[in-house]
Amino acid sequence: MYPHERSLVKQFEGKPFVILGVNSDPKDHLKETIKKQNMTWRSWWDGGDTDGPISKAWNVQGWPTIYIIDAKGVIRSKQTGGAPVEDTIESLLKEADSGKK
Amino acid sequence: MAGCRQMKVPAKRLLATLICFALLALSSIAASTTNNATPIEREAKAVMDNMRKEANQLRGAMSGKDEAAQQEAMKKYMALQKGVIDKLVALSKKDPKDPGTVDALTMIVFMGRNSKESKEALETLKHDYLNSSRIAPLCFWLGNDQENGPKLLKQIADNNPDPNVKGAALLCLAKAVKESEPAASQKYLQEVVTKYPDAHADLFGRKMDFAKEAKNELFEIEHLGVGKQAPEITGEDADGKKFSLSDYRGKVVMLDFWGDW
Repeated sequence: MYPHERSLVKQFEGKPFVILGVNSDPKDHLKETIKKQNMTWRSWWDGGDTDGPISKAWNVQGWPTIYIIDAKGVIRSKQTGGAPVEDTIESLLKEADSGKK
Repeated sequence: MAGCRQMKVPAKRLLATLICFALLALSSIAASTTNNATPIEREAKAVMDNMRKEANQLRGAMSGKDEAAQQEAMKKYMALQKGVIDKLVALSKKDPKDPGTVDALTMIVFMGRNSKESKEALETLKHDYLNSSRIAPLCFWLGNDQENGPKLLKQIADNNPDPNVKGAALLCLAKAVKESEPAASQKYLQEVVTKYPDAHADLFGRKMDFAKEAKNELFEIEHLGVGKQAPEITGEDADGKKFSLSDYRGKVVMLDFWGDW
């Protein structure tokens, strides 16, 4: 999980891409993990357990659950199975870029 | 027992998760009894209470770092579980007319996983107890059986007279066919909300409100599908600083629901 995310950050460095986490651990644990795993991306602390407000609002029932949202705020992909996300992110970055021209 | 989540787990945590799940299932099914417990129900609860006590004693060793102690504890746990299943099987045959028999059979299904006993208990439930008011928990088991679950859940939803069970069956059916039959799934969810707004059961130590669950599922379908505008998220980070999803408009966002376990 963490190595993959770190590599995504690296792969898309300098591009308009960001990882935003929603975390279900107790706050101290979250802080520790951020340090330990060198997490340079931000996470919302969702109340300390899996029934936090953000997880509930998004009806999350399995962890991890990943949504890819494009530059306009539209949901473009959802998955819980660990399928690769690189291609989706790449194509959405291209789309955002061409939209600017 | 908060903290047990359905998820893809790395192998080393699989056992702990399964045990947790089994203990949860056991405690929930028994928790549904209060003053009007039938004799079989009471006996089943006693078997489970005992199991939970003994399992708790093993838990420390099972999640500890000493591999040898871990293996030893696991062996003991497996033996304990086998003993309990055998007791429950005997109990389930003692007085088939006692509705508590459903509880005993359901416990065997949950605990036994793919064992012979589990399969036989499931067959007995299908054959003799599909109209019982106590099979809401079983619906959640059936929801995970991609092959045979949906058909049976439909049967239960159509034929079981109890509104709580109907609500449970429709909810579990909707979730089971979410990907394969999205339109039907949505229809079942709407049925729960409109026809069984009060359907509930005690599951895994928590009171489950099926109509509420169905509404959450419908929200997901309506607002969280591919092509939908992501709802706003506002919250605090680990340092207590507030931030929102919309702060990152203009960037491709990977929204990652995670936990370190």
